Amino acid sequence: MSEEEASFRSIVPASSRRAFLGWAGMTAAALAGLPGCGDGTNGSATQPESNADKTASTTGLLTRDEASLLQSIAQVIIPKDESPGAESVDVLGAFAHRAELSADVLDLFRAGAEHLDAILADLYPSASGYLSLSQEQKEYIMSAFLDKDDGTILHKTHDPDGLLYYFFLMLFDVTRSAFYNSEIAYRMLGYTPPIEGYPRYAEKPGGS
Amino acid sequence: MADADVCIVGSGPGGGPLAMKLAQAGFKVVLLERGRRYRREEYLHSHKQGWEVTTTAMQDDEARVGQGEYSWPESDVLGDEHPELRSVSNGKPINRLGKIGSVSVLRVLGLGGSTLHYQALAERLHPHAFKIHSRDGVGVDWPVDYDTLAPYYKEAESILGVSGPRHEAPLPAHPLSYATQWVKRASDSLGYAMEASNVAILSQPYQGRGPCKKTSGCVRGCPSGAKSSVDVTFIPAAEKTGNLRIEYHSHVYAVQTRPDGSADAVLYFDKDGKEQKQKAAVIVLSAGTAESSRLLLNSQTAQFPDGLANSSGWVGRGVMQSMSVIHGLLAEEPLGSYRGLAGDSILRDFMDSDPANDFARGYHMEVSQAGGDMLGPNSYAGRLAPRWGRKGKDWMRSNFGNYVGLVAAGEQLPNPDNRIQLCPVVKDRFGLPVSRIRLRFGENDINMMKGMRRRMLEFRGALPAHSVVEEIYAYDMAYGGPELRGGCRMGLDAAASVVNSFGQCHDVPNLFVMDASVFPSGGTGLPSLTIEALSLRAGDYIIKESRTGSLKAK
Repeated sequence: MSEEEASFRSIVPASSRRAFLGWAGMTAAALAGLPGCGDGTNGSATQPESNADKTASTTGLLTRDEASLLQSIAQVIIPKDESPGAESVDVLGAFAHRAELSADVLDLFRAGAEHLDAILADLYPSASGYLSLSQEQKEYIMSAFLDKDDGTILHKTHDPDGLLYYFFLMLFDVTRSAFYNSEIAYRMLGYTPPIEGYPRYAEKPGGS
Repeated sequence: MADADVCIVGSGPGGGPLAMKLAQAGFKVVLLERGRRYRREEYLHSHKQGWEVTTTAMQDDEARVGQGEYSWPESDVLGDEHPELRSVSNGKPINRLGKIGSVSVLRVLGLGGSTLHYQALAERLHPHAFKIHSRDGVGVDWPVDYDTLAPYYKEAESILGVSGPRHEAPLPAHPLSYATQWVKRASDSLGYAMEASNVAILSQPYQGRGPCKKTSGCVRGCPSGAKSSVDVTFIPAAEKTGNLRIEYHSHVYAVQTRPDGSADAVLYFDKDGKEQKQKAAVIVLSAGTAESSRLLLNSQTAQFPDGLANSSGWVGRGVMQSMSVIHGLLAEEPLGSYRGLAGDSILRDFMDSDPANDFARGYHMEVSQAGGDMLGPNSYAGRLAPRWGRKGKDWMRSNFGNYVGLVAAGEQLPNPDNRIQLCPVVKDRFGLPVSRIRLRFGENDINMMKGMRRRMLEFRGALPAHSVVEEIYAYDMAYGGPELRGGCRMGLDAAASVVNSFGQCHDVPNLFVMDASVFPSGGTGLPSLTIEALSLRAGDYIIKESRTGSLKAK
């Protein structure tokens, strides 16, 4: 067993290991600039559709409460501002597609959601779960457990195994794949997908 | 299977040109390809909404079979003595353990081999790269020189429809993209000669294929057919003769020999997993560096206990990679860098040895439009932008399209201890040992990487306002990709090489190796054009020698 594997086994619950290994591998490959992995999705995520809340796509996969949790977290990851955010794209569909590719994704989601509930019961005893938190509280949670290098020590005291980190990391990956491959994001960025190519590629952008 | 005149294993830049040459000369050729054939319509990346997360043909499960079929032993520790060679992304180390974590051998199984996903740089080797021992006192000389290979370079360039400013390429160079022009102005100010590279990508219509659409996703397969991969160039020419038979989904595992020591047949599993035997008068291994050595080693018998064609002990030794240094920059102005070729430019100023350096040999530089697969919004959001919240969206609005990758690729010196062996632990799905790859860097290699880094810093000092978002170094991101070379080196001395300059095994006259594994030294740039030139030359040799009977056992 390599040092990396031993370290990994010691910190990540078995139910989440395979899922994490998948994410870690994809990230490494993307950083190495490998085709097929560069989008961090292993080249095989969903074809996003506009409009979210396609509950039919999660039938038999997520409960209604789980779907609500996923959507709520997605809207913290890509919020609506002067332009639409994750609420306008099919995050549930993107998640369902990932789960089709690997059951580990669902394992990680459920283990992470359970752990999140336990942590919130400790941090916000008067709240009734993630959905009841204010936007500011949701952002604090995201900052504490996904940006764990950025200030708080909550990740050390409440998430020493890193489970919540990988939970949020996976949901970030699902959300950005759903959003930044949508017409909504393309419009926001003034980006034209290369359907017809870029005949004026040698010129300053904006004209082609 | 019916007997054939020639059986070629692998259809990449080694096998494809040879198949064409021999089929056109009337030989009955069987090509064993481990993958399938892709249609360009299957490369979805630029033809659908959400293209960045749409599975393209080369990313499907079938293509991935075999990609992980290698292993690597524990590697050097990067340690603290070379802190400047630590890869970082957004200021954070990529390789947390400080080790060379793994060797990434990227392979796509399919007709055309590595050319399906190469970025199609079609540069000839520097003439001095063939004589590194004579000129620089390092490595070994090639048994063939530039002038001998030049006509075959020319032939390959003509078949491919190379576009570029050098060597009277058949098509004009592609104009530089807007993002490359941004770098070139800095290069000009430093007195360097950045120009369009020769690429195997059509700038104009050529032999029934249309020109490039500049969508920069070359490494994901070319949907327009403008990229001159082997499956749209050499193979169709071979098929026209009626002398080529292609067997897809063929998992070759050994070469069988006769009692006289000559090669008799190729043994493989077919698509149903059934064992098959393909007999042929001449057998050619063109399976790529990670596989050709493995096949020879796996062909061991009582007669050849150390593997076939390995009386020298050099099979699997002298493996080299392209030593890459990549600095990812983010301009403070819109560049639209998702438009263009994956790589459209080259700087040759540093390709040869320079007495002022503390290392021998050199490297080329280029501007990578794709910037290490930084192609569309999803890539930016996943790699560079803040992960969540309004700050993430704001970052995307300000920076999308501004990424430019400065790339340097250096020549690693050959080292007999960098080698491919049969893995004693990891087996493939047929229970056969995978390639075990050991790649470490020597002092010259490390000094060269530091030199490449210094050059990057010089360029960054001359560029307009920008930030640095990534630095990637081969030292802790060992990255063989399709650019591994060596393992079956060519040479004049049968005691210190595996094949002669035509790829013919010293020990087995009717067995050839023709891919990057025959490179005695690495050169710079992508190896594909040089492999194709060597392959065309080997084809002429086989045609000639088969008439004289010299391909029979000694």
